[in-house]
Amino acid sequence: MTFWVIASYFLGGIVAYVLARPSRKIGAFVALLFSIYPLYALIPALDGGFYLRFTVIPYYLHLSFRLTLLGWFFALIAATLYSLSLFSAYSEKRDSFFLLSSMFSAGGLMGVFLAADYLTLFIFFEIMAFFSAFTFIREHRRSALKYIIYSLVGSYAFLAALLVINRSTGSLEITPLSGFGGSVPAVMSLFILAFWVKSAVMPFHPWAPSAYADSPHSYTPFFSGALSKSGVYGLVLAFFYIFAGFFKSHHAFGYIFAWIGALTALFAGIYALLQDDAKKLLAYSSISQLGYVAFGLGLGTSLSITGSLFVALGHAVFESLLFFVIAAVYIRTGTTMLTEMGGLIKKMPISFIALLFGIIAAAGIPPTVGFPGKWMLYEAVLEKGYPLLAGAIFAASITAFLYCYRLIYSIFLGPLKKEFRDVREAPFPALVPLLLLLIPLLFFGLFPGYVVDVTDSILREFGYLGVPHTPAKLLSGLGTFNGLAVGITMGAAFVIAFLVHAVFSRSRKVSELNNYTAGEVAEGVSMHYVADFYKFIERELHGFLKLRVEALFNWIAEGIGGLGEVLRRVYAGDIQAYLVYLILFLGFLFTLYRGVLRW
Amino acid sequence: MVSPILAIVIPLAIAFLMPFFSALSRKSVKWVFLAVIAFNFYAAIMTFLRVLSGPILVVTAGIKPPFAINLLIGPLGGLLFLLFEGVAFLYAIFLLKAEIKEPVHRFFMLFLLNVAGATGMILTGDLFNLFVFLEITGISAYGLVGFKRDKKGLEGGVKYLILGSVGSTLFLLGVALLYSQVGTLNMADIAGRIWMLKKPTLYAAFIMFLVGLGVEAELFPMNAWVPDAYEGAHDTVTAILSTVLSKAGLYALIRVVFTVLSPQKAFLDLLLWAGLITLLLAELSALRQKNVKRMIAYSSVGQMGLVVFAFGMGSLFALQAALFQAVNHVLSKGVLFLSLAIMGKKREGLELENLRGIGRELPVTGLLFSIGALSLLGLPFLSGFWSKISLLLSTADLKLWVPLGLVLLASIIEAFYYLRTIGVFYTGTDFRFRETAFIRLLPVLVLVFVILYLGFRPGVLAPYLKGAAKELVDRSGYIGWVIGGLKP
Amino acid sequence: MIKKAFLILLVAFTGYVFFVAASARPFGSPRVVVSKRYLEKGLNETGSQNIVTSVVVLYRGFDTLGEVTVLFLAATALAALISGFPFERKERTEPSLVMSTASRYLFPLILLFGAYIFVHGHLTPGGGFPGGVVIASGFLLMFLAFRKYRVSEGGLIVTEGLAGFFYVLIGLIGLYLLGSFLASFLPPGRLHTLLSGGIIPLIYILIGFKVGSEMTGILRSLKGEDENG
Repeated sequence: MTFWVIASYFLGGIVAYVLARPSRKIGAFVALLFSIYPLYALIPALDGGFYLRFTVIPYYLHLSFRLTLLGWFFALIAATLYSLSLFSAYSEKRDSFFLLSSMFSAGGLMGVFLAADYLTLFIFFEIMAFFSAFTFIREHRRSALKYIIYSLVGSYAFLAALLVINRSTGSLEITPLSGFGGSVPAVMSLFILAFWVKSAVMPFHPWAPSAYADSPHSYTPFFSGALSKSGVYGLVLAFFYIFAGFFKSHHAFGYIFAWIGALTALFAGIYALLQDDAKKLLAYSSISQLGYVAFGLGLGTSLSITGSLFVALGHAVFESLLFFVIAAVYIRTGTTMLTEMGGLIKKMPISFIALLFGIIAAAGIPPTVGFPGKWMLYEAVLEKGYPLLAGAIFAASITAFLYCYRLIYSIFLGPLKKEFRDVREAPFPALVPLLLLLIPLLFFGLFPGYVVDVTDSILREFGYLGVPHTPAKLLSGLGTFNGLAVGITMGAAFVIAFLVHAVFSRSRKVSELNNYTAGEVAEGVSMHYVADFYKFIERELHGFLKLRVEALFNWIAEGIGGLGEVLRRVYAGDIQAYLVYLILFLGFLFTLYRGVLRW
Repeated sequence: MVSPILAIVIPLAIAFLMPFFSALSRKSVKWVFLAVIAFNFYAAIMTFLRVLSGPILVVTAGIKPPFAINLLIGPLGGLLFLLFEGVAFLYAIFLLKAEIKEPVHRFFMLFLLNVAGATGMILTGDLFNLFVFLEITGISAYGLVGFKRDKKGLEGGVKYLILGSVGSTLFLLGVALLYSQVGTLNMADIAGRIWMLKKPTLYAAFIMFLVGLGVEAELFPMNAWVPDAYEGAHDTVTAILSTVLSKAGLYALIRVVFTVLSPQKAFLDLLLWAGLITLLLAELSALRQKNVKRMIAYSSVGQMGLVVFAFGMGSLFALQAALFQAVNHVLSKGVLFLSLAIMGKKREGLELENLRGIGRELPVTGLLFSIGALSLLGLPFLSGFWSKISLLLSTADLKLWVPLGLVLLASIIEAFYYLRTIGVFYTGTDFRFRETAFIRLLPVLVLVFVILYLGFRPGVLAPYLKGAAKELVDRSGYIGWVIGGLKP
Repeated sequence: MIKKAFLILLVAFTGYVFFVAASARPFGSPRVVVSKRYLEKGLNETGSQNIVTSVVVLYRGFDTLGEVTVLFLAATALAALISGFPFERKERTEPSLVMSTASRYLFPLILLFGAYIFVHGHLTPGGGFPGGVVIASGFLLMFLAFRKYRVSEGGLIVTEGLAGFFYVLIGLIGLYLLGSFLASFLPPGRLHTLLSGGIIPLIYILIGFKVGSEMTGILRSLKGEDENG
């Protein structure tokens, strides 16, 4: 069965590719069927793994798979998001090649989650990286190349680690490594680089904003919500399983990593404020959320790991939801620029509601799925007693409020733009993922215990204690969180507020250009101040914003390119130069062997 | 049973007769060419099927080696034989519809001699005979490169001619050096008497061979002719230069180093670093290259560097990986150059800018090109992946961490420029579908099929690669095959 | 200038290293097993009085076929390359009467001499290659002596093509009859006479024709008549 979970995507990709050529509808439908099967197979949960044998010369390699609880957790998230993204893709009228490459990337992702040995993991990691890049290499070559190069750097580092491990243990099976001397930190760094890059934790994030912004809008939810989880998966595996011994005995490492995660959450949040493109904003938001995950993993307590996994789930739900909303809006408006939209609340109410709940979750407000995870992280950092870290992570959550507000205000609130006067609600298929994602968004917010059931089992596999909980209640050393109670309270407050608003509101509808200053009508100036929304923050942080790690990576890339340009001239000489090379090489060899040649 | 020697002499005989066929009917030339290559392919298959059960010794003039020239086809020779004749056969099909400048018969004659020469190089068991076939291969290649007689072709041809002649002269010097010391030209015989050599002689001979054969095997810095020659030559000629010729040169180098001279640590180290430097320089040079054909030429050089690097590691595993990588290089580069040839017919010039959207216009060709390139990059489940991973595993086995890192770096650079090219091929939408004739696609399809097949069943090559690697490592076995007097 | 001096130094140095390497054992010491056998058994094995010839045509006959091909290729490739370069034709004056008359009489003699050399290759020094070159030199003389002297391209091509083909054919007959390529399927004959040496004279005659026509072809294309001659 596990085999078919993976094979279904590859098979489905090919079938959908063929069928989508004559008819897009049939192609998309078939893709959906093939993508639902894994979901159906995964939900009842676990069975054994399987082997695929590849006799490869000179090494006898095989691919092996197994379904662990951790893998199951992430695979289920991924399978769900992929199926949902196909609805949206159907509305966007994506072509056959998109179906093929996105199916393949989903299959690759499944393979990553189900791999039982490093080589399999690497193989599917590569497939995932390549085919996810192929979904948008045609329209946005630059960002796709950037993404693939970052991915390759990561996965080749992983490959190097794999080779070292194979060299020293003689096995490629994913098992805890009982150290091989002083090289563990080096191997571990190589090992986690791939996942670090994939989960876009700083400083290896620069690929993410452009890749998320430029990938097909229906694919981005899966890209951000699920593909990045392969990074989280790998980090969990590395910290608490493969290198658990090292990780437990070297607290400094975890501490540093927690700092990296916290700073990622904070900085990415700040960058998110300043984006004019909704997808870029969400991209940075996504990076920020995964920063929380990294932070929790770095802390390394039961509570923080549970928190991290919860945030990972939450991120998959709300971030994808938000991206799906953008996709829906794009279908009608043809833009993702915040500066070009506004006032769509009346035109696209369902999208608005979805976005509203999405940002509530993103900002980490109960009773949504965004809250319990963050609550656990805060509790964990307080328990650990790291005040500076706590400060950083709290500051990060402030940025979430700010960018979330900007998102909903710019798109849905304010006056309606003229050109969108005739916009309708998005087509039904594009709304399907929005509506369906609202269910887990609220359900897991109200009853976080059901998730913690799973994470507890995962934690026990790694030798950690679980987090005490009931379906609706979570307990930490410092306090209790009751999702249901908070939810009822919040719901009641919302109802009351809404009634107050309905009864006492005295708002006035004005058009976009109906404005005046000092009694004088300012012709043609939009009242909707979406551009330079957070100008004041930008001004304050001017110096900080100039420090960009992209600059460093670009510099390296430019350097390699420049080197290529110089070296190219080696081959651009005339024949005399070539002969000189040859003779000089002879001379070099004679010099090299002068001891033997006796002169 | 077909004697493998026929695969050398029949093409020679038909090449001599090409003018007659041309006089008979101008169209018949390419069909005669195809028929001869088909025969060679048949001979290669027959030979290939037999080499695993035991090497084939072919003597000439009825006198046993080392007194007369002999051919010896072990697993290594059999593998390369099949590979060479196989791709040559596909090129011959491809050439059926190609536009070739007059005089056509001369082109096919040169091509035929080129294939015959390369075949001779891999089959012969005699060092001087190897030189003779090196010359045949080389001179026909110079003629082929310059055949278009335009500026680029002539420039490439002349550069290749000069460097190639210097190279073969140095090779000849090496042969002379060995002959002066051991008094025999038979490779197995020399190998058996290599103890007679003083160390300086051995090293000097190695240097001569390395520099001399490095020209054909495209090692830095002897490979400077490659970009010009590849770019200037007719498309199919480029394909055969990159696939067959470079491998023949490489085979000669490897055979000489491993079998004849005995693989000293110093020699292998030099091969390793020469290969690595070749790889890095070529990949870096390709990075900013605007002309796609030239870019793939650099990539070809880089791949040769990678293969030489793997040979330089010298372990049994590494040799198998190197051979596998060489096989994949042949397959991929065949696909790339042929599909590029198809694209070139639709557009003016092969600059990257001119090829915008070509993948939409020629969807099948574009797809095949992409698969070829991705196999080269090592996308899983294409045959290039398995050879690359084997190669890296052997690198790790020998704890060569620095070279490992450099190879990975080169792979990233390679991935960048190939993916950029593929991206450009699929940029834009307003392109009309106008795929090329099926007969021209057929050879590329076959190559891609092999790539896919090996991608899922890499094991089918296993016994051959292992046998070939053993043949290289086991010198006394090789000597025994020839001198021990196998029945002809 | 310094670069050139440096390179010359380097080349000289290469020569020196080569010399050191080669002088480790002097050339022709008794270790030369293979040539010893040629000297001892060659005459009886091949029936050729000229041992060098038996080495060239039989023992290393496969090489010789290759060398013939190289020559053939060189001629072809040269023609292909030369026709790409524009050469300036220099107007030449007609040679003197003495020259042309002498050439006319010498020409058949030269041809005859060439033929003699390659027919007697297995008996006396010489053989197909020198014989062919002598024949070509006859044509060179004619090219020099007569501005308008033409050699038909067809004739040359037919000669060299057929000679090459028959060479391979003889080898194949050996393969068919005796199981190995270029095996001498004719009897050695009476030693030291014209009819001895098995297939050696046959092959040398073919080589003579082939080399003669190829060298003539090279001279012809150097003369620049490929396009309109």
